[in-house]
Amino acid sequence: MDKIRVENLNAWFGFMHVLKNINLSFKEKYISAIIGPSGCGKTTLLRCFNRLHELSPGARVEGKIFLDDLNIYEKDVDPVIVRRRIGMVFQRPNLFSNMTIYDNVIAGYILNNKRLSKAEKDEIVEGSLRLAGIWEEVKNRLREYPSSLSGGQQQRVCIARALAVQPEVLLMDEPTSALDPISTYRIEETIRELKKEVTIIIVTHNMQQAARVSDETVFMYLGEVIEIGPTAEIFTNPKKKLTEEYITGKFG
Amino acid sequence: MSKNIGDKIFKGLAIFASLLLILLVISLFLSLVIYSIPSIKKFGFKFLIDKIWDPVADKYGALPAIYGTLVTSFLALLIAFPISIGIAIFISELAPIFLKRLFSFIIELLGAIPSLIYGMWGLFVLAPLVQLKIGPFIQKILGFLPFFQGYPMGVGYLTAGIILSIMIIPTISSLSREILMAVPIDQREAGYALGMTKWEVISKVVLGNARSGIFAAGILGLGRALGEAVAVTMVIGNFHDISISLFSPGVTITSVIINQFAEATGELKLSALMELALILFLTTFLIMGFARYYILKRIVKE
Repeated sequence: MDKIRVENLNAWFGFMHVLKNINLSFKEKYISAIIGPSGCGKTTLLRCFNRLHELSPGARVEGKIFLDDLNIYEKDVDPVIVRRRIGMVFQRPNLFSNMTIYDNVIAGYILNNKRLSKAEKDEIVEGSLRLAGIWEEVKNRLREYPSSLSGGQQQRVCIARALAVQPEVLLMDEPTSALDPISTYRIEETIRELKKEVTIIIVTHNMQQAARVSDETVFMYLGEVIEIGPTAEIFTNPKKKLTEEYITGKFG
Repeated sequence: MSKNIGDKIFKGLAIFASLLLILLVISLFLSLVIYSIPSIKKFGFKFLIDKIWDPVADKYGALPAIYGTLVTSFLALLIAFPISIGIAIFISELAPIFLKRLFSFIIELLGAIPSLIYGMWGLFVLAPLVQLKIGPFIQKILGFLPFFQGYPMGVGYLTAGIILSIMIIPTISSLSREILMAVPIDQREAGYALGMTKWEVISKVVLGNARSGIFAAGILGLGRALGEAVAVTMVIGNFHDISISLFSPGVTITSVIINQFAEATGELKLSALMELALILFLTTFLIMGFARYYILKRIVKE
């Protein structure tokens, strides 16, 4: 079952054509990795999935992206609704610096003006932090501000914050590129755990990471999708020469 | 070698210039203190709580002036702060690029208009307006409050407060705009990615982040209002008393000094005026210093 299907997607930054006629689909409860050299458009593609790309000045998108049966680029679709169904974790941890850890995790609820009892909130916060594998580390520090956490811990709280609103899809934009190997390892563990809950699309320029965590891999180059297939196949037996050259390190 | 000497001369000049500045501030402060001594000796602490200002009997009290300065300045802040935040949000978050530039430009211009012009406008346009339209209107709705008793005379605390608020809007709004624009983009994106609306991102994330900076901007505006002289003098009414009603005329520290300095013949009167100046100096110095320190701390953090 396809969770996200991309049809003839094109994206621009000003006059720069950064995504060229993308056609793709991502399966439900799969972990899909998007790999490719810097500037190939993988992050832009990811940011098209939750309509974040269009917030950048001069950015433009054409084409269709279906979330289940909903074309999220249909005129009357509110991007806010799309973003509540599709969560995102960024390259650098970006917890709200003026809110406590607890308030950060529950932020999606408070800010969407849902009324919750204290017990409900506590449950959501604990559950989300557990899912993100950081509950034990922060359970006694929930009233502290994020700056007291390490980068890796902050990033996992970011994951918890994204999960708290129970998204159907979780987008991850190089979530470990700013982190040390141990934090990276733990986040990858978390990602594999999360597969039971959500569909995950992860952008990474770390090929080993893609190989370790993903079920499917998309290889992009210069704004185009070159190859898509099961991760094992892409890494052992790629069909396209360009893919092979990239994964064997001939360029990148 | 010669290059080295040039460096030394230049360095010496630069240090000299900065020391000069510090000396200037210190000497300003010391002169005020020295000139105030007769008044301080004569009236002591009573100067601060006495209402009488009687040059004939040579008795002086600063309370009406201090009261007027505080009332008009805080009134100005009360009016100017929300408007300025609105302007800052509009410029930094909502306006398209060309409007951003246009509005920033207009605000800078407003800040550059000499205060005398605000004063004239206040006296000839705003004061009659307060007397005939704004005053009666407020009285109709809030007339039961002690702040709006009596007949609006046009000049007075309210008019001075409004004029001051117009004058400090540029200060507060341009600073707030900069503080809002300095909120990192990743904080905003985090909000959007969670499914917040634009308004939620602005109110919870951007303003939440900028809170302390905006507070400091307000304090800076307050500092400006406290020290403003010419425009206030023209519309305050120059009546040496204290009234709870904002429609009443009054005095401020600056208006007393401006009005009486030229005819300050006696030593004690001059000294009393100097002591008023000293009070104003210390108040604004502390407030400005506090706000600058606050802003600086924030900028350093980012």
